[in-house]
Amino acid sequence: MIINQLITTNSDSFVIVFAKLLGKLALVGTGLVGTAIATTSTTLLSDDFVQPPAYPWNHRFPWQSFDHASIRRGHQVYTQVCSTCHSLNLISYRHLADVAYTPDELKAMAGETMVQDGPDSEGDMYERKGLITDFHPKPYENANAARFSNNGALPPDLSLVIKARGRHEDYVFSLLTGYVEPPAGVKIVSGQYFNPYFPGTKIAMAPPLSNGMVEFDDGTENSMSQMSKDVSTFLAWASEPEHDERKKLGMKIILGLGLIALPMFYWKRLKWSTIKSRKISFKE
Amino acid sequence: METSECSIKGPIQKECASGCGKTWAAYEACSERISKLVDDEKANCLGQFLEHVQCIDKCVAPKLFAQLN
Ligand code: HEC
Repeated sequence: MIINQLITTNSDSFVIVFAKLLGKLALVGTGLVGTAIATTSTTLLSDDFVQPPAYPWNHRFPWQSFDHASIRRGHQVYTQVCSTCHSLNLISYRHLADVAYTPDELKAMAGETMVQDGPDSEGDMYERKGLITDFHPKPYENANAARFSNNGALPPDLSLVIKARGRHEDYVFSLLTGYVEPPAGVKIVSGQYFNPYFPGTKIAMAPPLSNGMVEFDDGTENSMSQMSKDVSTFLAWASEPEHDERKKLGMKIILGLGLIALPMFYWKRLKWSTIKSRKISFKE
Repeated sequence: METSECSIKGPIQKECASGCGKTWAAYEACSERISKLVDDEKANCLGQFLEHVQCIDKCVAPKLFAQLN
């Protein structure tokens, strides 16, 4: 097609051909960008659930870090409630050091768990006390065991669940606080629960939290919403432990580049000043 | 509407319901309609209900987090 174009316009000067090609390219570019936008946003064919609202999280803006007291409370909610059904395979106790706990607290916490290790020199597996380098214990041996205990539904691993769902922590918070009686005419069989935020509105997870369920060690009031907010913040951290560092680095880079821009601007003006102020005169 | 069992979210939802009279009326009207369809197994008011929840949520979101740590 481009060759055709060159042949049919060969009476035009090269500059005109070039300009026309550029115009075509710009059109193709716009088309590509448009297609990219249209195909990367999620289009849901049936809206049989409620889009969660945007909650004002403490870490929502680029200059804000996680609320680390909330991460600590959220970890307590996870270990005391969610960990009976959900694994957290990608987070070890060590990862929480200087994030939500001191290393000593974590050693004590890990020491309370029993871990299977091995094989030893005779080839047998053995049990030992947990170490700070161990990952969080799994509630079930494998997915079949997990399904068998949960009416056939698999409780997903929570390490990356915030990233794996649209609307992220807004979704998990809404889901945990969203259980209500089903509306008129909606039938729920046993083992299902109505939740307007879950796609399809019928979820196999029983409402996991209720007011006062977890005693926080910092004395924060333990309403269902507070626990949900904290566990959502904890899971947001778990899915992106580098979050605070990333934002800090971003700030440094923007600040640094901003500072460098000032002398660069001066330097450019200086270098160009001779060129911009020169006068060419032709003498006989 | 049945509100959340949360001691903080529940009352805020009740407060916010007054701003969503329209969606609630639509839900009520639907309940009325389907209560007459005794033989219809599938008739339900899910759509109306979800619209009502969505309306209430807009009002709940900022108020709820203001009351949490
Ligand atoms: C009694 C077991 C049980 C407990 C306790 C439990 N869950 Fe679940 N959870 C499940 C099951 C089963 C599913 C799968 C539901 C389905 O697919 O219908 C699930 C699904 C989920 C999902 C994914 C929903 C989706 O969009 O696919 C999230 C997020 C979740 N649970 C978070 C939590 C959190 C946070 C806690 C702790 C506060 C928790 N769960 C406690 C059993 C449990």
